[in-house]
Amino acid sequence: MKSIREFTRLISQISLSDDDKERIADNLIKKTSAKKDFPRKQVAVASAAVIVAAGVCIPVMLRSGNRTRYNISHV
Amino acid sequence: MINQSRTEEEIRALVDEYSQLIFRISYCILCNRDDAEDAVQETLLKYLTKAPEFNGEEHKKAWLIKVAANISKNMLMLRVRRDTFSLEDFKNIGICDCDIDSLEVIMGLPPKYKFVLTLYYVEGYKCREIAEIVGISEEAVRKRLQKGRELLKKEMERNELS
Repeated sequence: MKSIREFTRLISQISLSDDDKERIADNLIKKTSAKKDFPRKQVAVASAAVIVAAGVCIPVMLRSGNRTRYNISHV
Repeated sequence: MINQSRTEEEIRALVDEYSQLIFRISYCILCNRDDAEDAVQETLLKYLTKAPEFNGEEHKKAWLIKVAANISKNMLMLRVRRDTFSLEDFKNIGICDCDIDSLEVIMGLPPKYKFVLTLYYVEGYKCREIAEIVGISEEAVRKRLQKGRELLKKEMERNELS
């Protein structure tokens, strides 16, 4: 049991200093606030809107372009 | 999703309350101060971003231990070179000069035994609780404890003789 007592005593001694704790807390605050600032949801909605708009506008523009060329050839 | 209501004070309180426990667990697996500190940070970040609803304080603590152990094991697998123990490293984790030889022996044990021994003898968990945290049977926990004790005794005796 002596070895176990020694094990318990030494493992219990393993610790972080107050400076280490403060550094960890600062990093966590920085990381979480950085993620908070990044508007993932808004970016996703905006991207989806751009894709839908492009999907609608590009075929319309292409069709209107064809019509214009057709009209011009007849003029 | 990050809980928007978490203030800096809450994060500091969280670090104050759990960083020592997580650091001990991670250090036992990684045997390296800097890596263990990274594991503490990763574990607490995971808690802040992905923690489920807890049934109580013990459930929360067990979740943190499990996550810390998984993160540490992953870090251990990814680490290519095996770190040698340095005196500076031991001093930085609060171990005095006279205990360095003994800690070196302890840290030389395989991680799976150190982890179970730490939970049982240092953190005061019962075999059933350790089985739940580690994800093995109670019988396997008892076997690991027994084997860990035998290895520890053997290594410490060898260290005393040399």
